[in-house]
Amino acid sequence: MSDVLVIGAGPSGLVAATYLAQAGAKVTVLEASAAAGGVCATRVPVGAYAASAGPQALSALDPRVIKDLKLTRFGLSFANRDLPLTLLGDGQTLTLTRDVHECQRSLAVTSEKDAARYPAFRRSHFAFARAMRALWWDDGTIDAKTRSHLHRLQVTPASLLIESTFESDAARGAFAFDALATNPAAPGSALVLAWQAAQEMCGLQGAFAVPVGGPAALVDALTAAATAAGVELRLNSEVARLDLDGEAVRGATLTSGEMVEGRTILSSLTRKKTLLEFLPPGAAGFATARRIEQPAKVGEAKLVLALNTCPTTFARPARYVIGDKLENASLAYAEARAGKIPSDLFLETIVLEAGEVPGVVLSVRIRPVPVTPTDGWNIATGRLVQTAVRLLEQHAPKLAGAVQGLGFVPPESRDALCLADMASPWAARILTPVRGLYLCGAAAEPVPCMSGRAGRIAAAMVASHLKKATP
Amino acid sequence: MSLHASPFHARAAEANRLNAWENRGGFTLAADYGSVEEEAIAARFGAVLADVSWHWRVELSGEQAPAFVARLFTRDAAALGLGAAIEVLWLTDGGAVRGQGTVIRIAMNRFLLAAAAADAEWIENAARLYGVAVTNRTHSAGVLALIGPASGKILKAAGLVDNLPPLSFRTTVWRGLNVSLLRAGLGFEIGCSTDDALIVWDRLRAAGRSYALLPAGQAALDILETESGVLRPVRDYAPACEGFAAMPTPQSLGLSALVDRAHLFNGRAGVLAAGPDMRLAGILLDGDTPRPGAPLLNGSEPAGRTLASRFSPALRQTIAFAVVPETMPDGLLTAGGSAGRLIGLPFLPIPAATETAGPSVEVLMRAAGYLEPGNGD
Repeated sequence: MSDVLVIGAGPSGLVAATYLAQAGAKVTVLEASAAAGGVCATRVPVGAYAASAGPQALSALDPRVIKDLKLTRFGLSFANRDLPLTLLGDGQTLTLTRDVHECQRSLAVTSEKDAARYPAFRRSHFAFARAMRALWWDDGTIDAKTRSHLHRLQVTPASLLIESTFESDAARGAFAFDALATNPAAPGSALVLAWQAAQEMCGLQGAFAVPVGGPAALVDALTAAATAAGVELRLNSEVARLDLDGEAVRGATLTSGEMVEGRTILSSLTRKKTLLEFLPPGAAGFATARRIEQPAKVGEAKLVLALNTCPTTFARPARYVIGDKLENASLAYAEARAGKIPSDLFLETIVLEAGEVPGVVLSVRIRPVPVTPTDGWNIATGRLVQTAVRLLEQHAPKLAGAVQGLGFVPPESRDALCLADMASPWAARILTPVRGLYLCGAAAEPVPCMSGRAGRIAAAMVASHLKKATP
Repeated sequence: MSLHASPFHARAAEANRLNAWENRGGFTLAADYGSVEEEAIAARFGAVLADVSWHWRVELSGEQAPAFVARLFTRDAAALGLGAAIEVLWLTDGGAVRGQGTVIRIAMNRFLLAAAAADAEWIENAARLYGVAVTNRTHSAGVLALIGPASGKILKAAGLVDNLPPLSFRTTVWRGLNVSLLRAGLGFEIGCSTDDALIVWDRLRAAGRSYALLPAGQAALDILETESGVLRPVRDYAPACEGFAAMPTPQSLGLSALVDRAHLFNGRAGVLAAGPDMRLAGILLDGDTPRPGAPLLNGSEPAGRTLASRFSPALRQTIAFAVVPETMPDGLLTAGGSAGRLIGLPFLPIPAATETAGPSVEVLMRAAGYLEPGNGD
């Protein structure tokens, strides 16, 4: 019998499993599909090419996970360590890079005042975000001043923060996409912007990095690390339910009918799936069930376009953001929440070098979109893709004619983001009402994302509990 | 909130000499029919008839109803036999008391919950997890409480059962009317359809004429319940509203007797992790009614707190519920500046009880100056 079962071999599950195995536990990972990696392993056919359904640029991967699990030794490397953000606005382009002076020069084209204010804004924004790392990166505490600012930002719309700093639509629009968060369930909170700024890639705060080989390369590195640590990876082992012994977990029953014993289980799946669908009714508590039964209604879709040539608009490596004003995000969010494809969409486009055929692949993230459109995705896909392509074409003429193939990834079902969770300690998100059952995936993160941090911290908690339980 | 007339309103209006009304659970009800004291005392010596149609009553039905009630309530209602009843609490996820009531098993997969305070949203949301239907029966029935030592004789005289054991329920056809009988709380509860309500009232009044049966208002009912040590949510303490609240725990209210710690129920972890057990006790006070939550002092040492209090006509004294440490002995205390004496509950035995565990009513009444020496011997 394993000491620990981990449900889901996505990046978070693999991180948790590897840490626990390194701590000396016997760990088995139960993965429903035929390959590890979760969304990163899902392949989307785009003509003759197959793109990953996962994020092409990573912005939140925990530096400690990379270091502790020696992911670079297991093959993780980055093609681009710090993608600049380029806003494609109405007749104007604004590029924000790591270089503050370069940013000022770009901002000065539309507003001298914005250019003058940018350095102070970035300094204070990044300083607060760094102070929040004690809470968002570790199981630590923050000082009273930071907490006071945290509570103020929780109830401050991002639009207010940005509008009070910048006057040009270009500068305001540049922040719109990130303000909608990884999971835009709470649109426009300034705290979400701060959370994004607290992240780090390749030692650079607020950076977006592109791994060589795409998100699948991260999975390959994590799988290699897990295997080296002695983790048993069981593929095609879909969990049907969790079995309880009183108020404690005692194992998992697979859809095949096999019962896998385990007194400690970490789930990298959603809170709803873990606590409502896997457990008997009421086992997680009635108030908990009420809180989590409604998944996020709004999410992010992904469009992958295979092109025969790269439009000149996207010639330089960057995160190309197309979107309307930030204040329109609230209206777009409301439309998406009602099951409609919003009239104002926010796009982030990254150019991938696919190889010989096709020459260029555009990976486009689209926010906000309904998780379950009223018409169903069969009908809504066409409308969303047409709108997105039309938006892209406004900035990259004749793009539609260059498309050789396309793939579409609808939003995945996620737990609704609760802003209060962003101020909670990790234990509040990782521990569950069932003894021995922990969450270690996106559901346990302050903002759902692919950081591996929840896996690392959950593993530390479990290891500590196991140590206490050992006579 | 609009007010509803009770199914017995026409009869209550005829009897309500002082036109004293009050609102409970959205119903317009007689506060008293002329004299609160007279009605409360009548229940000690004869019998009174009180309208409890306002109590929230919901039926929980479905294949998973036994599993649902087992998880919802602090005692295993799924283990009840048909027609049996049990007093229960239901708790938040954090182990705080949300509600208190009586559960009756009316069929294998049907349970009836009767409570003095509604908690519809919580129970409906929880029932949905089990696919259990929650049907509100509050407005489809009239219910009368028959309280007092003569209540059994009145039921017999009326042609209804006279041998219903405590905490049991049955339905019967009473001279052409479908009625239900529950023996719980202070006495018997007779339920009927709203259409039959006035006939049932008239028949019971007629059967009780030889026993000086009086109608009693809600004020007298409150006094009787307090004297009998029956704690009610909302009236006597503030239940938790938020789903994760941790207070008040059953222990902090002295309601541990309504919790089976070995049973798996919602909020159990919170109960097990909560502080030490407290004891629900009574205080006989010399002064005015203290405010709810007033600290109790044993000399200068804190010794618990009061809950609700009211004047007892039978004891001619202010009485209050108190929550004190389990090990706190009975004795002299002060509450809100008034001197008092801590005693075990009930202050007086339940009026319907034929055999009392507490002090005899006559002894207490005589001590309070209601009975002259030799009177009633």
